[in-house]
Amino acid sequence: MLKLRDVSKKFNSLMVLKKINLDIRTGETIGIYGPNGSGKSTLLKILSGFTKPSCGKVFINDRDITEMPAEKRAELGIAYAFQIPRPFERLTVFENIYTTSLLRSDPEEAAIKTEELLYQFELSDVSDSIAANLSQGEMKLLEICRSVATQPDFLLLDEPFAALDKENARVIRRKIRMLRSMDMGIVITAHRSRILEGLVDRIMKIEYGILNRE
Amino acid sequence: MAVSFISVISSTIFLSIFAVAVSLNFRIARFLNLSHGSIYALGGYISFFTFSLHFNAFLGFLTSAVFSFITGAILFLLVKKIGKNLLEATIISLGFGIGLEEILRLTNRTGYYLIIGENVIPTDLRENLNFLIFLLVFFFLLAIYRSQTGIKLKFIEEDSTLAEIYGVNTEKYALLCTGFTSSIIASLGFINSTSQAIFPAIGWSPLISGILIAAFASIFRTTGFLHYLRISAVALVYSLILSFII
Amino acid sequence: MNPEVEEKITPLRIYRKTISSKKRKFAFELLSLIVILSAIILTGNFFLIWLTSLALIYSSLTLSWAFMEDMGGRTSLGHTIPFGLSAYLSAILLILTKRPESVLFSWIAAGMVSAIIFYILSRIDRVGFVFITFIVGASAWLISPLILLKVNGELIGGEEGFSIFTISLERIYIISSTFMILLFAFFSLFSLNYRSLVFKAMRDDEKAARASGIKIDRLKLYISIISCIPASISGGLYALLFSHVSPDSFSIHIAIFPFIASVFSRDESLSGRIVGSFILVFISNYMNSLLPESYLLLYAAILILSPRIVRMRFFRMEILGG
Ligand SMILES: Nc1ncnc2c1ncn2[C@@H]1O[C@H](COP(=O)(O)OP(=O)(O)OP(=O)(O)O)[C@@H](O)[C@H]1O
Ligand SMILES: [Mg+2]
Repeated sequence: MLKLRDVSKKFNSLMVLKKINLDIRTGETIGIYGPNGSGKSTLLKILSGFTKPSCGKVFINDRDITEMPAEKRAELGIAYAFQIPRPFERLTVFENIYTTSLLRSDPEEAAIKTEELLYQFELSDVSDSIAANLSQGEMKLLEICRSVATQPDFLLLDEPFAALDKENARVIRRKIRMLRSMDMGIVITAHRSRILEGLVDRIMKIEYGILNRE
Repeated sequence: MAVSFISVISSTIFLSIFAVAVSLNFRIARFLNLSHGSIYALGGYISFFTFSLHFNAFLGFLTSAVFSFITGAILFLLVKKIGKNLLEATIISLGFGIGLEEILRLTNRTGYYLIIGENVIPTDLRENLNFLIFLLVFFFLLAIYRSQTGIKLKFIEEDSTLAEIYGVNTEKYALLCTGFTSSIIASLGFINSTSQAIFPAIGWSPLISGILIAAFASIFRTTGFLHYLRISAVALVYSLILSFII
Repeated sequence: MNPEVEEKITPLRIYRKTISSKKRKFAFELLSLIVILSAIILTGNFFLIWLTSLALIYSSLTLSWAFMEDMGGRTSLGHTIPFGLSAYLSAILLILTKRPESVLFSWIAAGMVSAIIFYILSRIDRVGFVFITFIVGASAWLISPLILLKVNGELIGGEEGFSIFTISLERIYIISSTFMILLFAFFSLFSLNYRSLVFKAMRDDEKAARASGIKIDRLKLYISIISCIPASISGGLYALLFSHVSPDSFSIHIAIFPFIASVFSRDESLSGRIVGSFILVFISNYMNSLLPESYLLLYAAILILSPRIVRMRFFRMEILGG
């Protein structure tokens, strides 16, 4: 279980998060929505270790990881897909996924896993393209695919639907459905609640730094 | 002790001016101008010719100021045409500096070191002139930062893209700034290289010191005139440390 | 129907095929390099051998530098730190101890000291890294004339530098060509190995690499060591070739040499960087014969135009990828 306890975050004088409590169980999918600047990304960055909370604590399976850097948390099974995709630009799509798989398996096994993932995410046709040349939708898929390749227990998807057309949003939606069967704890953020309906187990709203159940 | 005190003060004044020029260039024109060292040498060479050919000293000084202003402006135009970001602009300025240095060396092939000979500017006068430049630069900056232009400059320092969006002509200020700082540096070169042997790489040492001082001063993250005062304080500490080491 | 012809094209197959074609290309390049270098020594032309030795030493420096660029995404303008440090240290130890073995020790020691310096500097962001390495390297250049030694009551060093024993040109040629070939082989094979992928990932995006669980601090340490030790050996060979060490080995034109030699080569192409270094050394030499040290004008021109050139050949748009 991934837990936030009384987490607050202040940027200079701006209070972005106020005493947030959140429990994420494996096998459960949570949707969080809120307007621009409401602190969705900040929340996920605190979970993934890219931002430290001003006060409060982060736990994974009752272990305090508040001070743990992002790369260690990734090892413990927390994967974060950035809101704006950050592929390894000069590597091919295959290499992007292979690199990440290699951190968890030996080269042979990783290669097979990579191939599987590329098929699952419909990226096999562009597998030898340089990542920087992908389209927006493909980059988004690659970003999610790469975070899945770390074989996480908790998957944090920051606005997977942002800046996509309907067609691509539908593809991503299908992929998230597929991920739900993989026994992970998943957090998805979005601007509006509608896009999360039917995709998540519970929906929460974040506004003025406060996280509320719908 | 008294002697070293005076030398610390004069080195503080000298390095403050250098660092202010480096910092101004970095903040307003948005690149680290690595050609400043060569511009200093340019001032030195003009000084050498002025005194060794017995031209009017004041006219020589003026020539150096104007000529270096133009050189700085040319550099800025190159940077604008070729460079897309801070790093590219800096590398261009490095190339420009090396080129300038080589031109100075190739056109003055009588010897690597040029020596003006007699003490054309006595030490006292030289230090007073440095102090005068120091005062002029600081009063000029104070006056500018208190005027309408100062608000724009502060805006550019804080966020130049935003400033541009709000209609500040950042390029004009960047051009003037590159020219102006080059002028200051060349003036320093003109006055101070009279006391030493002149060679093309003469400016590197003050340039590196100037960059270090400007970098330390920028840790405080102030903008506007206050920042340039901080530079003087850092320059003082730097000169003190140097005087203890050497 | 032959089932082998009908085999499906899968991502993994494409990947393996690319790797093996790159390996063939590497084997060809390695072979050509060995042939060319052997041919040069067989000519017996003293000047050609001398100039090639110099180019080989510069190429080694460029390759070491390129490792930091290609695997760490860090552009250094301060590789004169290991280069000059090792030249100085080996000269000083030779003069003090009079034992040739001390050279090996100084190469490693200078490399390790520089690696620590670079490791600390690599915590700064990429743009800052370029500046700070340049400033540290240039400071070393300015300070180096202050290095003086008292030998038999006589002060040596300073602007003049130190003279050390001469070794035969054939020997230095063989050492530097072997060294350069080994470096080329090692760096090429490393780049083709799957282990290099985490480095390249970090090079492309440090944050994304961390999100995948790549421990970038450790990789930065490896990169600093693997890049600094060969750069340091190059500096030591440079001192041996000239039998002399002076502040020149810290000079800015050596600091920018790898950058300039790489400006024209294709992305990550090590052979291109070697060719670039050779061309630069030979052209510089030719220009020098016309007008002493006029090659620096060429350096200046390439530096000024480098953003343009880089943009023409990389798919990434700016030096450092913006
Ligand atoms: N590093 C930072 N420094 C200062 N302020 C920050 C920083 N990161 C975020 N903020 C501020 O915190 C607030 C929340 O930002 P955050 O990115 O978490 O919002 P968001 O809900 O993800 O918005 P969006 O829907 O636009 O992605 C914003 O007002 C933002 O300006
Ligand atoms: Mg966000």
